[in-house]
Amino acid sequence: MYKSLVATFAGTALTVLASAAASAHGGEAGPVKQTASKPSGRPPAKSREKEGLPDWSGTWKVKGSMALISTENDRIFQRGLRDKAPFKPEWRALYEDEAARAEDQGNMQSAHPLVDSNTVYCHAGMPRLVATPFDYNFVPTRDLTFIIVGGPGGEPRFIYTDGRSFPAEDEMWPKFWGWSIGKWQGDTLVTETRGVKPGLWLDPTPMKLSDQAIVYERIRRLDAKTMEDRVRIVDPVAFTAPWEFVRHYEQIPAGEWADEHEICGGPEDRNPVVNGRVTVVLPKQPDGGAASPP
Amino acid sequence: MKNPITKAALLVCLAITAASGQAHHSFAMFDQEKVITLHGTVKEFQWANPHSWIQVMVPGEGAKVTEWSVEMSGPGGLARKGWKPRTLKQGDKVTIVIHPLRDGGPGGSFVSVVLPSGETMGGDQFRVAK
Repeated sequence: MYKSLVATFAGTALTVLASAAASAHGGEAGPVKQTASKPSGRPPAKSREKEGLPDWSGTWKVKGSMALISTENDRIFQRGLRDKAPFKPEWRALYEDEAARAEDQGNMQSAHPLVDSNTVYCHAGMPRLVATPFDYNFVPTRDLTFIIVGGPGGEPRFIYTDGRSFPAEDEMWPKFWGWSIGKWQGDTLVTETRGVKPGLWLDPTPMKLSDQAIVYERIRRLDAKTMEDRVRIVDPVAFTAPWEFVRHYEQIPAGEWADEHEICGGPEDRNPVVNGRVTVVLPKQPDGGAASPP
Repeated sequence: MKNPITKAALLVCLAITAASGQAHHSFAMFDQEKVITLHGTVKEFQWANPHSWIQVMVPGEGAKVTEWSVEMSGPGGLARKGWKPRTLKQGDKVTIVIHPLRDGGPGGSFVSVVLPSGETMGGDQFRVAK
């Protein structure tokens, strides 16, 4: 399965990259690397060491909706009010069908509910990590930038800035967080992520990418209280055109303690997924009867 | 006897949505279009990861008492809104506003509570506030 995926991936990667380069993200930068099939290398990154790293200290929260594109009222399941990715017709049809099923993910009477992949795996993965309800810590170091989403127990992203290329095609496989490399353009971190596990929801609705998607980002600090991530997703299988959006993060007051990531499962999780549905565990009623509608 | 449960089917124009406080699971099982006000007594305040819960005993017709389960966001988010592990205590008389379960069961997602002191506290909906 992986061999097939990787072969398909590699076969289109350079085409995708060429397309991406022609319409550079934000009109400022193209892909980080165009050497998808080169083996790993690790040249030193002395220039960044000389320049120093930007100050991204503090803890941050996404501003606005967790949906990747905000709506006027944030009601994510109200179809027709929400912008969507530029899906090809067959992918849009799939999305519409699954969005309807997703509305029933807590409905025990529904025959075919669809449960959020974040619930199933207890991890968001990429590119959903761009916008979650959790804390963000952006930690640049010389060779590797960490984006820690969710504090202790959360999901850390690893973006390598040591000059490496992506692994050779037969050394990559789909990951929740994909494979990310980056380079510095001034105080902007320009990243590229490939090899994201297909089928993950991109936000609280079942938007999905193919296994050939590439996620480009430009991450920078706009001002003392604002971080910005400009995202551009190229998916030649699912999209008719690149999909671009911007998310901002606001700094939470200094002195706050790191939030603890939400832990799925265990006896304190009263929302188990049962028979493909998100459930609510209700206690027995005082008269000994089962919980029932009033 | 005054009905302690006041139901109102409202068009929710607030920025309180299915995404409110949502994290590891969807809140689609709750009806975001409706709000219910519960008048009852706290049985237990479960300050827990991944989600906190208020168990509240609500008197109904006659001697019938129903235990309602009110789901909140996690402790971290609540703490930043001023909540503490002992903000609610067993025996507290409270008024709680929730979005009820779609299946009609005695449960819902938390919107706000009026404490015995008269103070009103909200949840973790700041994350989607416009």
